[in-house]
Amino acid sequence: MKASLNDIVMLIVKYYGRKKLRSRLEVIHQNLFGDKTP
Amino acid sequence: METCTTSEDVAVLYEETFPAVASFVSKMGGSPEDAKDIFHDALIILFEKEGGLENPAAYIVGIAKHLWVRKFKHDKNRVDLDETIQIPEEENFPIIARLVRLVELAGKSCLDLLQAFYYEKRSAESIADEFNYSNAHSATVQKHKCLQKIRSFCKNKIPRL
Repeated sequence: MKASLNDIVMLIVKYYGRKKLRSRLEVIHQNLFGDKTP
Repeated sequence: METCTTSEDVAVLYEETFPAVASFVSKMGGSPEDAKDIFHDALIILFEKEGGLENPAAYIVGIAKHLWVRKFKHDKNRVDLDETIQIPEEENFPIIARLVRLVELAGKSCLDLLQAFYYEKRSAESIADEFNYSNAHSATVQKHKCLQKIRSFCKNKIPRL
């Protein structure tokens, strides 16, 4: 099955969204726990 | 992203829930880094889930345990799991990951705008506020321009990837 250009753009947006969210979660983790295990 | 949208909400949920996941992963022989990775995957699944939840903390812990067991399924002698939950692993699609990097270089502001609309599912009003558009209509017009720009970009790039 071939993806349409719109599908590809939406995948790009989704992956970019995840990438931003992962960075945000990493910052939250460092702020809350640093390198320590809770 | 309807379940918790602000950084404060996410931080509260993180602080309340991560210790339970870290404890579970530790008991199963995983490292603190494993616990963090599994926990982040579980949070992404939560944020991408349509519709609200009564108890997002319980959902995250359940998903994190599920992901952990699935990750080490071969060591667990065929544990019966719900295969409908997709693990958010971007590295499984290297072409898309490469396109994301190229589009970021060519038009990061457009990607930021589109992810606010389509990934975070925020209202045009709140996006107009954050991105300094005069009103929701202007933000929506810009969204359409950005979609067009990225479509054209991909059309030119994809044959060369």
